Amino acid sequence: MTQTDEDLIEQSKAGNYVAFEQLIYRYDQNVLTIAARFTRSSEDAKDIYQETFIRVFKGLPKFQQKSEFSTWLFRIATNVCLTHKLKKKKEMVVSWEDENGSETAVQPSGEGEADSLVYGNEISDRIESALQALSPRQKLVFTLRHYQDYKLKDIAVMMNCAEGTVKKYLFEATQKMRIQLQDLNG
Amino acid sequence: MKKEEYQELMHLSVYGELSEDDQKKLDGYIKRHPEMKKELQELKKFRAFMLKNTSSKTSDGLLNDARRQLRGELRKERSKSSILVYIGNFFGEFLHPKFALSGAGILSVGMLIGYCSFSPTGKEGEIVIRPVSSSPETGPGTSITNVRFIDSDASDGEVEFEFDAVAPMHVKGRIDDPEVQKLLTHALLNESNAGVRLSTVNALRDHTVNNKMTDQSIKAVLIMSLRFDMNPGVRREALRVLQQYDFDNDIRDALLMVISKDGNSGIRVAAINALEIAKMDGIKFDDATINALKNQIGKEKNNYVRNRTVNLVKEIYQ
Repeated sequence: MTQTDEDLIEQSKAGNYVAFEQLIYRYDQNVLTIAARFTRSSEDAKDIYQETFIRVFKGLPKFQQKSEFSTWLFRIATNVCLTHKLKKKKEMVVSWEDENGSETAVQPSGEGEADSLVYGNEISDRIESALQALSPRQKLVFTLRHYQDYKLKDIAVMMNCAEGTVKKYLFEATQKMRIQLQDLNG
Repeated sequence: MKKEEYQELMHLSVYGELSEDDQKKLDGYIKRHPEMKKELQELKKFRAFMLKNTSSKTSDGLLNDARRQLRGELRKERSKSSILVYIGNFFGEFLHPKFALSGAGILSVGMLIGYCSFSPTGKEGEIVIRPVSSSPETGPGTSITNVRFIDSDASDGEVEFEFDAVAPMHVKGRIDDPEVQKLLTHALLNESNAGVRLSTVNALRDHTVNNKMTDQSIKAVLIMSLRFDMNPGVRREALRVLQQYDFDNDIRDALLMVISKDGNSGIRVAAINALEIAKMDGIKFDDATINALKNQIGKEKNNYVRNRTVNLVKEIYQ
């Protein structure tokens, strides 16, 4: 029988590290995806991932399950994203899984474009560039709503702000993205 | 309501985030302003375009890499914890964690554990845990870290503080004792020294030579080691011990993951061998397993490993 998050949390609090890993492996790909989308750097994404789960590990003994574990976890993850200082981008390769399950590498686009990463095709490159042009909070809201499909009220809890504020960020982010991508979108 | 506010409602509508009332308001507005219908359609088109052209998750390779690094960091975090806190967690009936963090409590209760609860003169077959030093509070090897003052004002002649004391402990017990196995699996997951992790797997392997392994919690730890341990030697040994278990879907999935993701070709070959042995033992593989192997044939860059995978698939079909 599959154990619930609550079961695994209790076991983790009792020092069962296998249970702790089972618990975090339910959500860690989403955390990594958000971080990678947010930073466009595999190294920074891994740093955010690591920092998030170290905080979870340290904070779990005090976690009282007044909220869902996932809400608490993503609240930590979004906070780490927003406060993370990006490293100098020595190695900036993020690989994503495409619809067929195969990987697409996101690589530096070359001299003079240190901040730009490209997907395997131009469209993906443009989308990523447009995303990076958003403010950190706009980018995070857009990522959580568009890519991760979280509801705005959940995002508001994760980001510790009012739902109206989140709506505003999503509206602004979508408008900016549309303008930047209008030639592609026809 | 202003036009801009309706525009915001349109965005929310596209994401399915409008309440019933707001949706009605928006529908009414669009009826009154047909030009806004085009705007709404463009928004829907944009959403569809974005969904079509972006991936929603990172690759397994990046994820596995992140997990390995995290395991290393978690090991460091755990090693900072007091051994007595750890023992308190494992043997909760003997030691309440609250006491374990109290400075004086740590040492006195630690002594108590060492000398009373796990007396070296225990009966044959019982686990014996004792401090390596005869006086762990001052003995060699004991480290005191993370001193935290509760009351540093010595004007009344007293101070109060807490600290973490880590004292080396000596364990002697039967390898089939569940508590010994718990300690060993803990070491396998958390010890930073790869040599120690390897010795731990070897100890478990020695135990399995004459006894078929059945303990599922040890199996889970071995699978984690096989999948995520940074040291290939440890992964290889974990695989060998897992072969002492009855072959099941957990082991099959772990082997398939090794074949597709492990960076060490020797371990990939060992995983193929393990599947071949399972096949010889009469295990039937389902279509999903065969497809996973076929898929891997196309991706495998090492000729030898690829040929071995091809042969395995042929054998499965025979």
